[in-house]
Amino acid sequence: MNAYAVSLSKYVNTGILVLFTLLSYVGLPLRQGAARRAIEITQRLLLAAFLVNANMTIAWLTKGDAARTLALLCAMEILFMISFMVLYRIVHEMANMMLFNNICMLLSVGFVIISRIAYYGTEEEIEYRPGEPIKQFVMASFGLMLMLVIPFFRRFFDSLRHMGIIFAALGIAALAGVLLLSAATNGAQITYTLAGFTFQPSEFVKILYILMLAGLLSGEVTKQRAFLVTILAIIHVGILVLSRDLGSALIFFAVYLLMMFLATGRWTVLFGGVGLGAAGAVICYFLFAHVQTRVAIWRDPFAVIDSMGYQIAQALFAISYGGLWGAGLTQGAPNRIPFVESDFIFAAIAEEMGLVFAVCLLLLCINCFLRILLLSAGYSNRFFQLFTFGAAVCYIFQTFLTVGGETKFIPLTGVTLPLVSYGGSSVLSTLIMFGLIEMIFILHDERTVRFKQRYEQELMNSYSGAPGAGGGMRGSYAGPSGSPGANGGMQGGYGGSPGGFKEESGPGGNPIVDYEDLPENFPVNGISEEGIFDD
Amino acid sequence: MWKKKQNAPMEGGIRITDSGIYKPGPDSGNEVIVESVRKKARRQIVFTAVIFVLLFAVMTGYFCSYAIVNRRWLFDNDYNNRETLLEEHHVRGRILSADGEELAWSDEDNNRVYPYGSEFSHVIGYATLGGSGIEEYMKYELLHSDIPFESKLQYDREESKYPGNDVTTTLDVRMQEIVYSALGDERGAVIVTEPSTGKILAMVSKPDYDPNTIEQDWDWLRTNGSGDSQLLNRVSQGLYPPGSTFKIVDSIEFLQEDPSNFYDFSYNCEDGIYQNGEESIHCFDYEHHYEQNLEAAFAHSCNSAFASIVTEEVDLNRFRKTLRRLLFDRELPYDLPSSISHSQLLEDGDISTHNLMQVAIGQGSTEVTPLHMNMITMAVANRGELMRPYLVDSVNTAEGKLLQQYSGKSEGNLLDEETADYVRRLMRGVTRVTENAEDGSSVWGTASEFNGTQTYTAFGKTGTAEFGEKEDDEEDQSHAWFTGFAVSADKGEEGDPDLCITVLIENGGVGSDRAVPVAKDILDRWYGEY
Repeated sequence: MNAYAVSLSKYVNTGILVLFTLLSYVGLPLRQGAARRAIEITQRLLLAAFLVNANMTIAWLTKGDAARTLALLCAMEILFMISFMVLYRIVHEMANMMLFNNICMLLSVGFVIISRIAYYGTEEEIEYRPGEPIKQFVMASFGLMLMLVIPFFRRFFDSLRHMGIIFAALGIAALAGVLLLSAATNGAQITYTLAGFTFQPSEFVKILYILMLAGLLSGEVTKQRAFLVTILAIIHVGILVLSRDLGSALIFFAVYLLMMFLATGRWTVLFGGVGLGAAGAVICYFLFAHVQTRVAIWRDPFAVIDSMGYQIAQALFAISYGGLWGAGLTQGAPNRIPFVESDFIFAAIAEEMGLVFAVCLLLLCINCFLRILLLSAGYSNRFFQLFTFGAAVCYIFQTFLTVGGETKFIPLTGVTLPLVSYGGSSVLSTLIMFGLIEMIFILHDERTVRFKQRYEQELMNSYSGAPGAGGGMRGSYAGPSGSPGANGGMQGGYGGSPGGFKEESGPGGNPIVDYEDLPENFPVNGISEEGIFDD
Repeated sequence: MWKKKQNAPMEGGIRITDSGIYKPGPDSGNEVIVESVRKKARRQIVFTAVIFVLLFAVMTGYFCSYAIVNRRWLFDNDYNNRETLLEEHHVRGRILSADGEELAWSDEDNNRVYPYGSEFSHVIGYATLGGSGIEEYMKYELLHSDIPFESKLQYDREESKYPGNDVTTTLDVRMQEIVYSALGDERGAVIVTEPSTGKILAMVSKPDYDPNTIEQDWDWLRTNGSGDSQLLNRVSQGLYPPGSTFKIVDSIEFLQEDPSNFYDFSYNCEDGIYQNGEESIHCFDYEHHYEQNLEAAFAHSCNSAFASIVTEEVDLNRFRKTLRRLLFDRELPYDLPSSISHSQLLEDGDISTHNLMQVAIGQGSTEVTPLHMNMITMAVANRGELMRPYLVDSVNTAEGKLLQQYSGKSEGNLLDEETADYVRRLMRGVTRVTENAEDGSSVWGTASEFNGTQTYTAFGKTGTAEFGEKEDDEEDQSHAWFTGFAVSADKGEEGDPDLCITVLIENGGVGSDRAVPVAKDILDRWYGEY
């Protein structure tokens, strides 16, 4: 039956992910409505099917030694994620559920491969160590719960905008603390251990950092302001370079650069920044031996295969061995790669599930990125826009660094694949970031609805005093998602009045009330979004 | 706090807010939007999206093509060791000769069986202990099973492993056996190839080992104090001074510079010594060759004549280029491990006359592998074009379905056709007795044993390559060489050669005494001369 099982794991899993990814892209430009809803539900079914199939394959091919553990874990994963998605929708009606589906799929792929990596040994002697899969599941569940809770605090989000300096101070203090700690212990330590939990502060400082940049850049970007932001960014990056956390340093730099570019709208900022960054990289290369080592390994890992090149060489062996369709779950040897579960998870996925699967996974990551960018492009609030944009860049750049490093496309920097890799800090911080993105989306949605109501009111006031005519108007500008308690007449509108939705929801389910769509001389005095929320 | 400042109308009543820039509208108290945040940001966001999508596209293209293109090479790496995974589910496939005879197969206990024992030891190699030969080179194919899904299910039902793919080689069992017995107990190497395709028909290296008992013999083979190096494939990895066989290379260069040299050159080797300044070189055994043209000098293997050619006639820089083109100092176009040949001329930028003379006669630090010498011979035999030597003809599934068919691959011309033609004529002079009609004298080539063969015509060059430091009372230590090719009689003397043969006998003495009989024995038996 091996042939059956291996083929199932290979082709069925690949098929599921291909379909899932395809649906993600089909759904990308769709507005809220029946079609989108159907895609969301199909994706959830695919997700469950993937988890069941993959876990069953692992259990079968390892002769069922730990089948019970696996089945239990798999059931819990499915139950938790599906019920969570349903719950989320109920609690936050306006949530962007397609982004959510992507997150859960990425988490699931991670669960499966971490479960598989937890198998050690040969065919005769297999040992399953469920510690890591369970830990990962617990952390992911905790993160998802945080995602659920975060939007309840959306009222306070606006005030974060003015706390840029405080975030900078916090972030720098946390990073410097690690640096000093590692200097004291004379090692390349980038983690704190508190009460048995090891966590990596740079993962969480990322969020503070993006909040800081979004806050400081959301006003008019004067020269002084740009200078201040640059100095703060350099301090962050500098500490990270000194801590030898080159991956994080690069991410922080890329986020700074692209957020500056968005805030100023100047191409000179982008190209100048890239130039300065390159110069900085060259200087680092000559200053630090560990940077030179990384580059040397990248250029020819096989020349130093018995020492520093071992890890990348093993990753390349793994990726290549899998071929297009993979060796099949449990049929490869991903455990030969040191740190496979965190920094080299992509190689393990490619080996056992195949290149087609791995490429689909990347397409899914890009789908998340584009989805978040679409949200960002739809915001009229600068702070919202900048934070969402920064988070998107942070996410995709980290993905690029880890996949590029594992595949010898760029020098290895040792960062995790967000949501997929094993590691509590990584999963938690990424989920918090996605939680904030969802929160901003909900916040924006809510305000748009209120803005529209004010707009309708204005229209009614200016064109006719007759309440009857006003009623007609109201229908045509019906809010997209029936914000609770906003208008009794619209409560049933969710999904039920397709006409209203389709015309007024932007890509990514982002309701459009575009200023540009309004009449040229439309009176907006006092009723801009900002205006409403100033009081 | 700076929110206030921001909301304050600027000059001309323009107001910049989070969501855009507003200016006073036509009606007092109203504002119109000049530029909204959303519109302004659109270009940057689209740009960012495009950049990352492109970056990912390039990266994906890179790693997918890297993984697929280098699949074999990565699998074969010693640090990979994934064949152990495949061995759990696969029985290693069979290795077959060109006509389908089993050269290696796995029995029911998954032990490797080599029915011909040590006859094919180096070329087939062994599968365990790190592997070597075809067993190692083709392990990817041997350990993959491409039988149909239904067949795999059948094997699953029987709870047996899947049979790996079969590899059919270019090796000819008859030729290999002839070569193996002709070489006898000598230490040395023989390779027989087909110059028109590059097929390797036979490859023997001695001393050898029995691959059936390699695991038991391993420690002995590895620690063998006598320095016999049984595990070394001398054909492709043994480096030897080429001796007089290098005169083929000298001639190629000499004739390439000016084809008329073939007729115009003459040299009088009166006392068997060539003097250039203070340096001198002598012919083998101080033999006197008298007045001779190029053909005679080549047939006699006259050291003095070739020393004069290389020191006086040829352009050294052109010679260096020719050497590189003839694969000196370069990785040989061959898929299994091989050593790189060197020439002293390429090592020394400014070469002394003494060393140059050594270069001319293939002594000094010049070293070649028998495989390399065979390649040069193949190029001469094939009108200058080298066909890449190869060992694997095809890969089939265990059920006989063809998966991959290999065929001859050209490596381009090592020398031009005209030169190849002249060198061929020179090599013909070595294997016969040429009568001079005018004065009744005759030129006896150094391999004139081949004179008058009925079933085939041989072409070749002998060599006696001295090595090591020689004490006065010691006998000469030298390797015996013969490299050449043969055309069957029915094709006529001008026909395309059927096979190329290179024989090296380690410490065998004089080439014409030791290597030529072996080569002749092989060719006689192959063509049915007696």
